[in-house]
Amino acid sequence: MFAVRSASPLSAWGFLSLPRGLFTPQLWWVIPELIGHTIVTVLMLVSLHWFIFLLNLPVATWNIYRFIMVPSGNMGVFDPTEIHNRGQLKSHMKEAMIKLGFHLLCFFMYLYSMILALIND
Amino acid sequence: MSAPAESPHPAASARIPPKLGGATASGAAAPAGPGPAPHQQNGPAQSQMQIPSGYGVHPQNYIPPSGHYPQGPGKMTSLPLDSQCDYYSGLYTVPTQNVVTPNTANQQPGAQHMYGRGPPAPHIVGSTPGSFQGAASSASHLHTSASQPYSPFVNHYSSPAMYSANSSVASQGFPSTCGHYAMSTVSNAAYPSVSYPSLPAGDPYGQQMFTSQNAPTVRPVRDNSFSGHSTAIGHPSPLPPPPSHQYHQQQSLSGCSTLSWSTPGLPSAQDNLVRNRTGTLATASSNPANTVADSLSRPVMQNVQPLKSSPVVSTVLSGASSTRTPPAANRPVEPVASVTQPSELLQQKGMQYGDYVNNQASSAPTPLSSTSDDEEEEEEDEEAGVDSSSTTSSASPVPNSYDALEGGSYPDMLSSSASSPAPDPAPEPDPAPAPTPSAPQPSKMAKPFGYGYPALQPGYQNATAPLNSTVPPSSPGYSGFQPYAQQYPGMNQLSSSLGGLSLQSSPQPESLRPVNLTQERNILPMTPVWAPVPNLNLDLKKLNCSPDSFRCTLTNIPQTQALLNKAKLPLGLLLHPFRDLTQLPVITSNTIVRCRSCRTYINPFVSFIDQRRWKCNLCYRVNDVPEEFMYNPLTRSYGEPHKRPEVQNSTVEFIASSDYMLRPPQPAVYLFVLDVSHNAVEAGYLTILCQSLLENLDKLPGDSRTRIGFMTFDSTIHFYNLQEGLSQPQMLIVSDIDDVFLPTPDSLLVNLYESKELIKDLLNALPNMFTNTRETHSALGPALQAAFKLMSPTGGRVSVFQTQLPSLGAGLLQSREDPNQRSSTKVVQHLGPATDFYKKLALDCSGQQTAVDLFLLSSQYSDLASLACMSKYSAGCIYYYPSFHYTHNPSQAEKLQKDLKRYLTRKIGFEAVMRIRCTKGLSMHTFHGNFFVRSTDLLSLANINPDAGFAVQLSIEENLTDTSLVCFQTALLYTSSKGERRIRVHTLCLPVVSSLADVYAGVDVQAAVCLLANMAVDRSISSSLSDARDALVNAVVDSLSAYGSTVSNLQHSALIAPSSLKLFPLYVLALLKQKAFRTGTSTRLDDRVYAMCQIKCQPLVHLMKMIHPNLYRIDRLTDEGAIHVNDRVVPQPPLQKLSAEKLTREGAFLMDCGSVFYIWIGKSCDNNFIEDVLGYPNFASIPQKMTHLPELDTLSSERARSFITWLRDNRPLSPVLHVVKDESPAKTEFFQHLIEDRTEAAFSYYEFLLHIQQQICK
Repeated sequence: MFAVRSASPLSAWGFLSLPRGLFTPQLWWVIPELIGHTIVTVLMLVSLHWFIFLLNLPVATWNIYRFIMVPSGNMGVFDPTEIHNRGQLKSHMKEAMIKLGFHLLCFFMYLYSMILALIND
Repeated sequence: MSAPAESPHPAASARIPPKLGGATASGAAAPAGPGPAPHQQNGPAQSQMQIPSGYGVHPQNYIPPSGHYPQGPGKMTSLPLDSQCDYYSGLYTVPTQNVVTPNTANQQPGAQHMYGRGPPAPHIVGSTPGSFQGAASSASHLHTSASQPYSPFVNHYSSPAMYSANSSVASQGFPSTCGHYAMSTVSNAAYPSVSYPSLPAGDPYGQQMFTSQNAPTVRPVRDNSFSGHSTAIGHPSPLPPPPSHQYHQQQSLSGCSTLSWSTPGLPSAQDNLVRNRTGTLATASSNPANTVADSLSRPVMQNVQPLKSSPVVSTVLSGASSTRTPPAANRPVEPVASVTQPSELLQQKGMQYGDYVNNQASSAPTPLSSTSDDEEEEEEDEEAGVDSSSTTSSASPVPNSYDALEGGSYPDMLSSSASSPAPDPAPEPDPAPAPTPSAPQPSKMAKPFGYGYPALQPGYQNATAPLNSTVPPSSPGYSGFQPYAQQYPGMNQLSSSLGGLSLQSSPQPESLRPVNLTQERNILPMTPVWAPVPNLNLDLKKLNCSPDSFRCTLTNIPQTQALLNKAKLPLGLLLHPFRDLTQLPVITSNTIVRCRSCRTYINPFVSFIDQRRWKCNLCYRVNDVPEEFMYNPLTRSYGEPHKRPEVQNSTVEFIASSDYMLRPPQPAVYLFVLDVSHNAVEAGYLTILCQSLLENLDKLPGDSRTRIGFMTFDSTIHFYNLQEGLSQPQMLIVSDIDDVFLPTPDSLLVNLYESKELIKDLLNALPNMFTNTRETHSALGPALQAAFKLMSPTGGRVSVFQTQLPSLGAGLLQSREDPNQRSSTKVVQHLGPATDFYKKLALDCSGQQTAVDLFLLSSQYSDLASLACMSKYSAGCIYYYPSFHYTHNPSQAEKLQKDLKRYLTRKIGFEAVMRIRCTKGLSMHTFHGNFFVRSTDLLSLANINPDAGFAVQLSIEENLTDTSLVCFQTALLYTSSKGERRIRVHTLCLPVVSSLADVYAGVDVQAAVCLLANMAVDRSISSSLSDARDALVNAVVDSLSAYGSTVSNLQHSALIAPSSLKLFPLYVLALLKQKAFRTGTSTRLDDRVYAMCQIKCQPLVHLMKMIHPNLYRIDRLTDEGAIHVNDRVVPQPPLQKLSAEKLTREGAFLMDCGSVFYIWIGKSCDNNFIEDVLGYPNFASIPQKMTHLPELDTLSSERARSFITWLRDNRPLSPVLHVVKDESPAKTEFFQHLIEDRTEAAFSYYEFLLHIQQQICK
C-alpha cells in the first residue's frame, strides 16, 4: 500500500484503502456465525431443549436465508459496493443490534441453565 | 438580435392563425409566435396577443445566452464575451510565482528527479487543445540557458541555494507544465506566490516564473528561441477579436511568451514574459484598454524588485518600465472604478450575513477540538497550517512584494466576479459586452432560463386569466407567491436595494402557473429548457455555482422531511464536478482555510462575524480566520478576508500541499489490454485503435514521466517488452492463465518518451500481428488480473478492449440472454452481474488507484451486466459498440474513432476522492455514478474524467426551521496528470421554504427526471424492471396528485401541473421508452444494460439529450434569431416536439440525441435543399448510408453545417451523423425516438396523460 504519511491508526484512508478489508466480514464473521449458530440450534434439538431450540430456530433460519438470498453478483451479505446505498448500512446496523440483544438474552439463559445444572449436580 | 421564430418555420406558421398578426404588430420583437399560443384552448384573442409579446420580449435577453451556453467548456468565442474574458484573464492571471523555501526544497529533492528527464522530444504543435507542448518544450531550452546566469537573483529572495536548485528544476520541468493545464490555469488565479512560499517545488508555475524572470536579461537568446516559433507567433494574427477563447488561453499558457511578442502592445510583452501567462490573455484579447493597462501596470511593480538586486535586469527593465509608466498611471483610477461597485455589494452581503448569523446564533457551536479526521485530506491539515504559516513568516518577502506581484489584477478580478454571476464562467456569459461591469447584472439576474419571466409576467397574468375563467378557483400561483416574497425578511431588508429587486422579478409565479396538461398541446417550449435559478437574493445568486456543475432537483429545499414527503418529489443533487471549464480560479496558498469541525472549505456562503472570525455555513461552527487569509490581495489591504477569491467564487481549485498526499504524485500510467482473438481481429478494431493512438500519442495527458504499456490476450496473455534500447518490441507470452505472473515486471510499462520509437513500432505492427489467428477463446479475467498486478505499484488507467464473452480462466461467463425474451413485456432478467469476479477486481483496482475503462465491441451478447462491474466500481467508463465492424459498420467505426480521440486526449485526474458535504440537517443516502463509496460521504475515484457525472439522493434528517439557506459542497481531490495535487471545490446555496407551493415552484424538472432515472436503474437491478417502470409512473402520479390536492384547489377532472413540472410527464414517458426501461420493443440485453450504465454515469446535460432528444427542422433555416459564433452565423431553429405529426414529407429534420445526430429527409423534400445541402440531385439518389454533409458553397448548406457544427462543439464527444431517408430501413432507429407517438407497446403522450389522470382519480 502507500506510505501513509502520519496516518493515525484510525485513519479512514489507512483502513479503507484496502477494500479487501471489507470482504473479510463475509469470511470471518458471516460464515462462522452462520455455522456456529446452526450447530448450537441443532445441539439444542438433539439434547431436547425444546424451548431454547425454538428460540434459536428463527434466528438461525434468518441467517441461512440471508446467506442464500444474496444475488449472484454480490460479494456476500455485506457487499461493500452496495452497503452505502439505500440505507443498507442502517438496516444492517439495526439487524445487528437485534441480534446482539438476542445473544445477550441467550447468554443469561445459558448462564442460568448452567448454574442450575451445576446446583442440581 | 431579433426573435428567433419569425423564421419561416412552416409547421408553426401554418398553425398560427391570423390572429397572431396582431401580436406581430404589437411589437417588433413579438413575432416569435410560439406555436402554443393559438392552441390554447380557451384563449380570447387578447390573451394570445399577450403571450406572444411576452415571448417576443424575452428572446432579447434570452437568446444571446442560449447561444453561448452550450458552447460549454471548450469555447468562449463570441465577441461579447471578451470583456468577461479580460476580466478573468486580468484577474486570475498572476500565476504562482513562488519563492521556494528551504522547506519545500527539502521536501522535493525528488522533484528534480521527477522532472529531470529533460525536455521531451519535439511535439507536434497541433491546433488541438492541450497540444502546445512543442512550443513550450523549446521554450524550455531557452529557459534553461536563461536560468543559469540568474542565480544571483536569488539573493533577493530568501535562500540562494534553494533558488538555484529550483531554477534548474524549473528549466527541466517546464516542458511538463504546459498543455494540459491550459484550461484551468490560465485564467486562473494562481494567487501567488511570494507570500505563499510552500508551494510544492514541483509546481510548474513557480518555476516558470523564475525562468521567465530571468529571461529578460538574456534577450538575444530569447529572441532567437522565439523567432524559432514561427508557428506560435503566427497565431496572434487571427487572435484579436473572434478566435476561441480557449485558444487564447492555451497560447498564453504554453506559448505565452511568444504570443506576447506579437501582440500589439509590445511593451507588455516583457511583462508577459515576466509573469508568463499573466498578461497575455489580456493583451491578446481585443478588448478594453483597462485590462491591458492593468496587466501592464502590474509588471512595473513586480520589476521593482529585480531592480534592486541586479543591475543587468534593471537596465533592461528600465526601458521597459518607462514604456509602461503611462498605463501604470491609469491604475489607480481603474481599480477604484472597478472596486467600488463590488464593495458595495460586498458590504451588503456582509450585512446580510450578519443578520443570518444572528438568526443562526442559537445553533450550538461545535466543540473546538476537531474530531472528524477520517478524510485523508484532513489528516494533516492543521499541522500544515502551522507549518506553512511559519514558513510564510520566515521566508516570504512579505506583502510588499506580494502586492507587486498581484498588482492590479485583483481589482479587476473583483469587478469580474461582480459582473459574472457564476464565478465559473462558462455557460451563459453576459449577452452584451459590458461597459460597466454591473450593467448586465440586473437583466442577468432577472433573466429567466427558458422563459422570459420578468417580461412575461404581465402577459402571463393575462394568459392565465382565461384558464382561470374556465377553472374556477384559480391562481394558486399567486397565493404561492405572496408568502414567497416575504420568505426571507432578513435578506429582503438588508439587500433591499438589490435583492429586493430580484425578488420582485422573481420567476416563481410563472413556475407555479397551473398548466392543464391534457389541454396544452404544445407543452415543449420552443427553446431548450434551462435550469431554474434558485430564488436567492441577488448577491448570492451571482455567487452561486453554475447549474452545469451542480444542480439540485428542488431549488427550494423543503423545511422538513414531512413537507418533502408531501411533495412526493425526489430530492437529490446532480453533479458534474470535473467538467471542462474555461475559466476557473486556481488558488495557491499554504493554508487552505477550512472549518475546523466539518472540514468545509471556505466558500462564498460563509458569514464573517467580524474581522477575525467566520462562521461555517454547513455546521455553524465559528472559526478563526488565519493570519494569511486576512491579507486580501485584491485590494492589497489587510483585514478584508471576505474579498478573497475563495469567498468570491463558488467554484475554485486549490493547489494542495503535500499534506493532501499519501504518497508523492504518481506519473500518469496508461495500460491498454487488447483482445486479439479471432473475433476481435475479424471486427478490425485494432487498426482504428492503433491509428488513434499513433495520432494522439503526444497528446496523452501527462508529464515527462508518463508511462504506457500494452497487453494482448486470446487464450493466452501476451506482454510487450518495450524497454528502451531494444531494437524492436519483444512479445512475451504467458500461457499459464490460472496463475498469471508478470514475465519482466520492470519493462512492461515504459516511459512514453524514452521508448516512443518502440511504441510506434508496436502500434504499427499490432493490427497485422494476429491476422491469421484461429484462437477463438478469450481469457479476459486472467488478463485483467495481470493488468492489476502490473498497475498496482502506481495506479493509473487500464483500457480494456473486449469483443466477446470471456470464455477462459477466472471470470468466465456464460451466455444468459434468451433472444426470444428480448421483447417480452414481463420479466427482464439478468440485469445484474453473474459473478462477483469483476466487482472484486474493480475494488482491488480501486484500492490501488487503478481505473478500468471498458470498450466493448461485440456483435453478440457479451454479458455487459457482468463486465461493466469492472468499470463501475473502479470509477472507469464504459463504451459499447454493438455489432462493431470496421468496414461493414462504418458509422460505429467512426464513432469509435471519435470517442477514442476524446478519450485519449481529455483531461484526467488520478487518485481522486470526492467528498460531498451538506448543511447540518440534510444527509446523503444513496450515490449514483461510477465509483466506490468508501464511507458515508466519501467517494473513491481511481480516475476522474471530465465526462463523468454523479447523482446523490438526499433526505432531511432534522428540520431546517432555524435556517433560511442550505449549502452543498463538493470537494474533489485529485492528482493532475502533471503530478500536482489539486482540490476542486463547488459550493451550491439554496433557500429553504416552508410551504408546499414554494417547493413546487422550485422544481428543476430535468434534474428530477435524471435522478429518477438513476433510481429506476437501481430499482430494476435490485428488484425488477416492471417495478422500476411502475415507480416511474408513480412518481408522476404522486407528485401531480399531491400538487392537485394540496396546492391547487382546482377541479380534479383536469390534469393540472405547476408550470415548473409541466414537462415531468413528458420526460417520464420518454424514460419509459428509453432503451433502458422499455418493454415490448425488442431490446438486446446488452443494449439495455449499456443504457442503464449511461444513465448512471452521464452528466445531466448529456443524459437529458439521451432521454429526450431535440428535434429541429433544418430545411428552412434562416438567419432570424441566429447567433454569431466565431464569425459564423448559427441559425437557431425552434425545437419541435418529438412526434411524427411534426415530420412533414416536404421537410428535413435534425434530431440531436446527444451521441448521435439523425437527419431525416422527407420523401417529397424540396430538391433544392437536397441539392444544396446533401449534394445529390434528388431524393432517390441519396445513398442509404450517409454520414457526412458535403461542404457545398451554398447558403443553405452553410447554415445547416454551421448549425450542426455548433451543436457538436457543445459536447465532448462529437456525435456521428446519420442521414436517414424516409423509406430506408434505418428509419426505425429514428422513429423510436419520437416518444410522443404511440408504439405497439407503449402509450402516446396523450394516452399517458390520460393514464395518469385515471391513476390520480383512483
